[in-house]
Amino acid sequence: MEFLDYVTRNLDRIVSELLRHIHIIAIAVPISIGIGAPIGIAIANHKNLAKVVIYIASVMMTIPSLALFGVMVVLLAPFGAGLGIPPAVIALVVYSMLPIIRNVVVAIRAVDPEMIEAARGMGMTKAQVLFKVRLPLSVPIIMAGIRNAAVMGIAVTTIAYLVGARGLGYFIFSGLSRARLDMILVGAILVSAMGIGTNYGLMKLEQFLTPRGVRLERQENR
Amino acid sequence: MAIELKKLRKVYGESTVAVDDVDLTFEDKKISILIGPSGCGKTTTLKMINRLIERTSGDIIIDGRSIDEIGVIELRRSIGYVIQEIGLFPHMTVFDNIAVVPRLLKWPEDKIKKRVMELLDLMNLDPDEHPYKYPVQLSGGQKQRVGVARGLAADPEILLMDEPFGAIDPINREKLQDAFIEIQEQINKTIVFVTHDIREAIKLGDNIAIFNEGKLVQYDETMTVINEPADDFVENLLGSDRGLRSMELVRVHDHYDTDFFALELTEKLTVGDALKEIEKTDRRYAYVLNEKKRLAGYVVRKKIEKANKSDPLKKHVKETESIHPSSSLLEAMSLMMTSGLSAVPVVDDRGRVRGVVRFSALMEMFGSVDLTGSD
Repeated sequence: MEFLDYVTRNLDRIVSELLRHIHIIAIAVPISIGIGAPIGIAIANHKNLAKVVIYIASVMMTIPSLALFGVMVVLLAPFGAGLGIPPAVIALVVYSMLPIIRNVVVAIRAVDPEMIEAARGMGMTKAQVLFKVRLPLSVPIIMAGIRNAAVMGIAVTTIAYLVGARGLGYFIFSGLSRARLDMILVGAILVSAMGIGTNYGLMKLEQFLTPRGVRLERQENR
Repeated sequence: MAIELKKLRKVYGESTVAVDDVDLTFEDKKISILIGPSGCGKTTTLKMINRLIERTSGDIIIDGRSIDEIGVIELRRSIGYVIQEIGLFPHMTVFDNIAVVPRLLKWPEDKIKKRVMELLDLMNLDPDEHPYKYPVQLSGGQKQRVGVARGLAADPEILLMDEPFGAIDPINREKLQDAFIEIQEQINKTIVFVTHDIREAIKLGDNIAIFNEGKLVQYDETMTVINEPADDFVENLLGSDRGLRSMELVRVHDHYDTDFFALELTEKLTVGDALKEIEKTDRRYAYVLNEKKRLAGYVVRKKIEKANKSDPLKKHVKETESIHPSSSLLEAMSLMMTSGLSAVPVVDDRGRVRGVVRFSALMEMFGSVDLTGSD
């Protein structure tokens, strides 16, 4: 009862922190795609370079998020951006690099080389091969990487509360410090629900974006 | 358009010679086969024509121009390229697959649509059902037909085919080959075709180029290759039963004789009239065509000489067996055996007599080949 009581009395705050959480993710994910996808595309056909880049990306991912936020606060402070949304977004982008770059590389490499040769043999330019053949065929794997990044980002954003970015982390961390179960529950439930919802929504989007012929092929192979 | 290879050479790394100074000319409107064991340089040679592989030295001349004078993208768009079924784009419908090159060339969409429908028809694919299917929904044979249609889409003069029927089961393969021969009769392209299957080479090829270890071992007309293999390597490739085998595979189409005599039948034409005509030649018999110029049968000179000269010729016309241009010489031979005819008329789909296959010519053609198969 205490929980429902809290929710009804703080509905405005809950909605505003939820929107803030979404806001941060909505900035970070497109930036991650904007940086990660071109990197992935650029390195996909350079085996050694790809290895190095993916290795760096996976090292970045092992940095504990609290430490990363700490570093960010110090580094960004001279520019007056040490607190709030900038460190949160940057941290999310850093963590998203691995799933996005890795999946783009894997997806592009998974396209049959004979098919690429057919495309070139018919007179497609490099750009045409990329946009007409490689990328459409890569949609499912690339989307899986983006989904991965987004869901992980939802969790990481919780911690961004500590660097003043607000978001659903407020309920969890304030709840912890005040030993208020109802607050912690609000945060935990909303973060989990958002994660599940985003995962589902992006899965639907992935299905929608996957070319029909590829979808049929995947069903066939199942 | 003829394609000339001049001292064509491909070296990988320091010293791996993949193609070793090959000189040959792929003739205009002919099917030229490149054959040999894997690693012999046949595919490398093919891919140097559309510059998927860049040559190390030598030159390739198409229609008098070195391929270097043409931009690589333009060159590729002007040459049809067909590979195994895997080359179809799975995310595109049959229609979009076929339309790839026309779209690259920015044809207007209505022209593309017309062309795609035309090609589906040519490939014997249902224009109502097939264009909006995806490759995964087609059988292997259908996929390969789409592949050929895609290669032909922009109506290129030259078609490069890299083991196009390699992944198809033997029965459907035969069917595709038969269909392909008929298609080539209609489209008359200059085709360079890579295969490792000697049966396919003999069946489809006007000319055959045999490669071994990067070198061109022999390049001749198909019958010449069969009758006069350049060396043991070619002989082994052909196999010991090459005589019978090639009779089975070589088409009547390429080897009938157009020198024959035919009379046109009318109601009034009498035996006397016919004899007069025949006597102008020294033929022993004449084919008889009906009013629509279709084959009605034949008359034997000796027989009608004994007949009443005022008889209508019609009474003396004997029916005859005939053979289709796409049948094999072995079929022609067996028809001769069963019907007792020493020559069989070649009649096409429209019922026109195109020529005649004579027993004597067959014997001459295969004379130097040991038909028993023991060397």
